[in-house]
Amino acid sequence: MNTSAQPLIHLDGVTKVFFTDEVETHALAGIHLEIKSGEYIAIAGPSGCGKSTLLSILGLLDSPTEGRYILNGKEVASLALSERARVRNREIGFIFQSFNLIGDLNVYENVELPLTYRGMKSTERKERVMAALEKVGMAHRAKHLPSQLSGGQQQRVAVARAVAGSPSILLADEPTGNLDSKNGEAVMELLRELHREGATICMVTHDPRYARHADRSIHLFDGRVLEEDGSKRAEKELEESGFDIAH
Amino acid sequence: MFQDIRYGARTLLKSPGFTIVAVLSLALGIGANTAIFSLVNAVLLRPLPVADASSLMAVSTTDQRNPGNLPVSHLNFKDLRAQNSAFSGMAAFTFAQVNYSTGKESEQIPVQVVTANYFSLLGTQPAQGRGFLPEEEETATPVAVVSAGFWERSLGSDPNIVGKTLTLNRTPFTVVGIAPRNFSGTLLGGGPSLWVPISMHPVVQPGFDWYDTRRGLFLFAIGRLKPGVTAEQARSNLRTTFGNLEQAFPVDNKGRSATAVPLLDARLNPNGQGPNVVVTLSSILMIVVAIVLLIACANIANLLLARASKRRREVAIRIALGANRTRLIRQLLTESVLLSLAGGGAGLLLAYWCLSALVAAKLPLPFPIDDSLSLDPRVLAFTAVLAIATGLLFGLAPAIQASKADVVPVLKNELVASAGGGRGIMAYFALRQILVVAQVAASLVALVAAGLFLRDLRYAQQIDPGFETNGVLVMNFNLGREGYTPERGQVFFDQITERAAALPGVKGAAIAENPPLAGGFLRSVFPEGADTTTKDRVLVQVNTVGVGYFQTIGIPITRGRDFTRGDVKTSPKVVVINQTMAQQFWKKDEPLGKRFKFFGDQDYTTVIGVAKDSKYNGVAEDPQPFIYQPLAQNYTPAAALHIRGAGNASALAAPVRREVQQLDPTLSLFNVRTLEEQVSQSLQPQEINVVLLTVFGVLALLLASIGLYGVASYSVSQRTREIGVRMALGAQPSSVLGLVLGHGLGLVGVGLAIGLVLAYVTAGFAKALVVGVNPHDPMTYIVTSAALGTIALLASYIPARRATRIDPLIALRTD
Repeated sequence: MNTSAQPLIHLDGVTKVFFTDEVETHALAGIHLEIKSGEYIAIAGPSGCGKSTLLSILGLLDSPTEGRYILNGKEVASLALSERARVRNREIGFIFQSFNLIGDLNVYENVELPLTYRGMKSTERKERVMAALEKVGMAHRAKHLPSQLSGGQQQRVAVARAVAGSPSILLADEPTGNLDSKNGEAVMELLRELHREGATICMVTHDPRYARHADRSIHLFDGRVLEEDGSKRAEKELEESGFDIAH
Repeated sequence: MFQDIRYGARTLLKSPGFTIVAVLSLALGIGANTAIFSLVNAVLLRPLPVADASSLMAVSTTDQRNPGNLPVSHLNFKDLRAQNSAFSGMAAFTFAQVNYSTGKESEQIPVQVVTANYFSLLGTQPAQGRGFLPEEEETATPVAVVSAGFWERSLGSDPNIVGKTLTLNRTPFTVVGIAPRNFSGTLLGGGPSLWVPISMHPVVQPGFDWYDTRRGLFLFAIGRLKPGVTAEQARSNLRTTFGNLEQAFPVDNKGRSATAVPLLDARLNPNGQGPNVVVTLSSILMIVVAIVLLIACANIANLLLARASKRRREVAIRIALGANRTRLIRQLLTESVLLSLAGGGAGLLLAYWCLSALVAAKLPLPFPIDDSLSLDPRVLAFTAVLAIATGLLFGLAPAIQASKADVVPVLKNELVASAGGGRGIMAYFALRQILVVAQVAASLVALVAAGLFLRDLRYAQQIDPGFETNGVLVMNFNLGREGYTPERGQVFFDQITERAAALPGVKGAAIAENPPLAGGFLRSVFPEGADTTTKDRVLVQVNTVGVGYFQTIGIPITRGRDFTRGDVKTSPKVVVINQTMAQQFWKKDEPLGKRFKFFGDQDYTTVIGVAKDSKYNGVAEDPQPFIYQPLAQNYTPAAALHIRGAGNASALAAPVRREVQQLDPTLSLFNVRTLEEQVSQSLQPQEINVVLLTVFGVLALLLASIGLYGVASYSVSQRTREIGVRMALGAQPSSVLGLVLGHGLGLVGVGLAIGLVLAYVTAGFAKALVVGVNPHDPMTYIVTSAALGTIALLASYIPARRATRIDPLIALRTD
C-alpha cells in the first residue's frame, strides 16, 4: 500500500460551534488535519470530544463554522447543498455504527442506491453492486431484506454500499459499535482488506484494539487534537524496509 | 423515475392501513369533485355543437320599464331579420309541450318551434335527413326533426324513421331529420324531443295567439354576425333598426329597443341580470366539494407528516448517500401522487356510482341529466389533473419538511421522541397543527353553507302558501291539442267540473289555467284614467279560473264576491284581484268597482272581489299583485282540473279519470298529483341543494375530526415521557386529561375563529339563493360552531383518555 504525497483531505483551522438559545457549544476548535490518499487513520477520544462532529464535517453532512476544508484539491466547506450532495455521493462512502440500511429495500437495492443517485446506467450499476457484494461475501444474500440478516451481515452490506461507488475515502463511525466481538473483528478485517487494496479509511472508534489497526491515530479532547500517534505507520515502514520489529 | 414509482408503490403496499385510509379519504374528496364536475360539465361546459359559436349573438328586447334582456315578439323578429345589416342571418325559437301519441299510449313531450333557417344558421347538420326548408316556415307544413335522444328512447332507434310520421296533438308530422347526438339546442340544460317549423304553431301551441302581435315577447332570437362586424356594431345596428320599428309602431314598441350579447354569454346569464341559478348553484357546490377535498388533502398531509417523522432515518440515509433535496422531494412526491392517483381511481368509481344513482333517481333537477351525464374525456381529464394536483398539494409540505432531516443525529440515533422532541419533530408537529386549524376553519365554512340552506328550506316549508294544500288533487289536460273549439271546450269544462264534484267524497271541483305555484301570464294593466300607451302601465300576473276555484283550493275572498255562472262572455268583464294589487293600485280606496284595461283591450274590466294573497310562483316569493279572470269570459284550452276531497286526495285520481274518459276517451291527462305534492315538488330543488350541501358539510366535519384525532393521538404519543414524568410527580388523570383536551380545543378554537370570519365573508355569495334567511344569521353560525366544537371535543377526548392510562414506569423507559 502506498500513500501519495498530495493530501486527499486537508483541514485548516476548522471549528464548529453549535448555537442554542442560551449556550454556545464549541464542538471543534481549530482542527488541522491532513489525510493522504491510501491512509488508514483512526479518530479516537472520549464521548463528546467531537469525533462524530469531525466525521460529519469530513463527510460533508455538516459544515464548519470557520476554517477550510479541501477535498481532492477542491475547497468544499462552503458548497451549495446540491453540490455537497453530489460530492458526497462520488467522493465519500459512509459506514455507520447502526448500519443504516433501508429496511424496505433489499440488499441489492441498498447497495445500488448511491449509484442510482449518481445517474449511472443500470448495467454498470449491476456490475458494481455485484462486485461490491462479492467483495464483502454477501452476493448470495442480494435478494434478502436487511431484517433477514444478522448484525454482522448488515454491516458487511453497509460496507459494500460504501465501496460500490469507489469513493475517495471511507468514513466509518464506530463500525463495530453494534456488533459482538466476533462480528466486530470480521468487519475490521474487511476494512483492513479494503485498505490493503488501496482504500483510504477514516474511522471513528473509542476501542484502542481497533485503533491500533490504523496507520495513524488522532486523539481528540474537547474539540482539539490532543496528540497524533504515527507509530503504526513508522512500524510498518520499518517492516517494509526489512527491519524486524519486536512487539 | 421508474425506480421512484416502484419504490413508492412498494412503500404504500407495505403500509396497507395508511394506504387504505388515505385512498378512501381521497376517494371521497375526489369522487365528490368528479361527481359535481360531471354535472357542471353536462350542464355548463359542453361546447355548443354549432359552427363558429363565437359569431353567434343572442338578440333580445330591452324595455325601459322591465330590466334585463327579454325575448322578442314574432312580428318584431321578422322586421329585425329583414331590416338589420349586422347579421348574415337570424333565427328564432320558442317552447311548447305537445301530446305525442303512438295510438296505444300518449305522453307529453317538449318541442321547440323554430324558424326554418334554425339549423342552417347554427351550422348544425342533421345526423340523418335534413333540416327545414324556407317554404316550411311560410306554409304550414307538418314536418319535424327529432332529437337523437328521443329517436333512441321513444322511436327505438328506427334507422328508417326519416319519412315516417309521428302523431303530435292528433296531427301527423313527417320526420324529415334526426339531430346530431350532441345537439340539444342552444340553451343550458336539456333540449327538446323534437323541432317543428314555426308555421305549425297553431297545432303545437293551440290557443296561443301572440304570433300576430308585437307585444308578446316569447321568441328567443339568434343572429350570426357578418364577417368583420363586431358585437358593438351589431348592437348599434339593432338599436337603429328597432328605433325605426318604435317610430312605425309607437303603441306596441314605445320604450323598447333591441340588443345582442354573445350567445355563449347569454347561455350563462340568459336575461343579463346575473348568472343563471344553475351557474350560481354549481359554483357553490364546486366550492363546497373543493373544501371537502382540501380537508381530505390536509388529512393526508397530516398522515404523511406523521409517517415522515417515522421515515427520518431513511431520508437521512439517502441524504448521506448523496441524494440531493430535489431528488428526495421527487421521490416523496412520487409516493404522494401514486396515492392520489389510487384515490382518484377510487373516486372515479364512486362518482360513477353516485351519478348512476342520480340518473336512476330521476330527481326533479332544474336541468335534465339523463343523456348528458357521463364520465366523458373532459371529466376523466379533470379527475386525472385533480388527482395529480391533489397529490402534489398534500405531498409537497411533508416532502419539503422530510427533506430537511437533521442527518447526523438521526443516523446516530440521537433524536429522541421525548417531551421536547427534536427541532425536526417539532417542525412536523407545528405544521400538523396548522393543518388541523385550516381543516376546522374550512369545515366550518362548509357547515355554515349547509346550515344556511337548511334554514332557508325550513323557512320555505313553514311558509303559509295562502291556499289549503290538504285533500286537493290536480290534473292537467290540453283541449287545444285534441282539436276542441272554444265553445266545445267550455262545455267540456262545465261537464267535467259537475261530474267530478258529484263523485262520492268530493267536496268541490274547479278549473284553472294554471294550478297554484305555476304562476300566470304577465299582462300590462292600465288603471282607469291612466295613460294607456305605456307611462302608467304595470305588469301583473293573470290566471284564468273557473267557478268554485277559490273555494276548492281554499283561498278566501276577503271583499266582494266570487265568480258565478252569471259571469259569461257576453256580460261585463270582471276580475277578482288579490290584496297586494288592491293596496298597490288603489291604496286606501275601495277597490271593488274599480276598473282597468289590459293592454290592447277596448273595454274596461271591473274588480268584483278581493282574494287573500297567496303564493303564485314559489313559496318564498314576496307578495305581488295578481289577477284572477273568469274562465267563461277568457277561454283557454290548456287547463288544470282541481278536485277537493274529504280524505286522501290521491284516491280520487281513478274515479276522476273514469269520468274524463266517459266524456272523451282520447283526452290525455298529465301531471296528476296532489296539491301537497305540487308544493313539495316546488321545494325539491332546494331540498336537493340542502341534501348535497349537508352531505358534503358532514363529510368535511368527519374528515376534520379524523385530522384532529390524528394530531391529538400523535401529541399523546410524542408526550408519553412527559406525561409519565408528570404522573410520576403526582399529576392526577384529570389534569392529564385537561392537558391533552386543552391542546385539542385550543386548535379547534383558533380554527373556529378563522372559519367564522371566512364564513361571514363568503356567505354573501349565497345571498341570491337563500332568500328566507339572512346569510349572516347568528343562529346558523352558533349552531354549526357548537356542532363542530362538540365533534372536535370528542375527537380529542379519545386520545386524552388514553393519556390518562399511561403507566409512568413504562413511559419513563420509552425512547
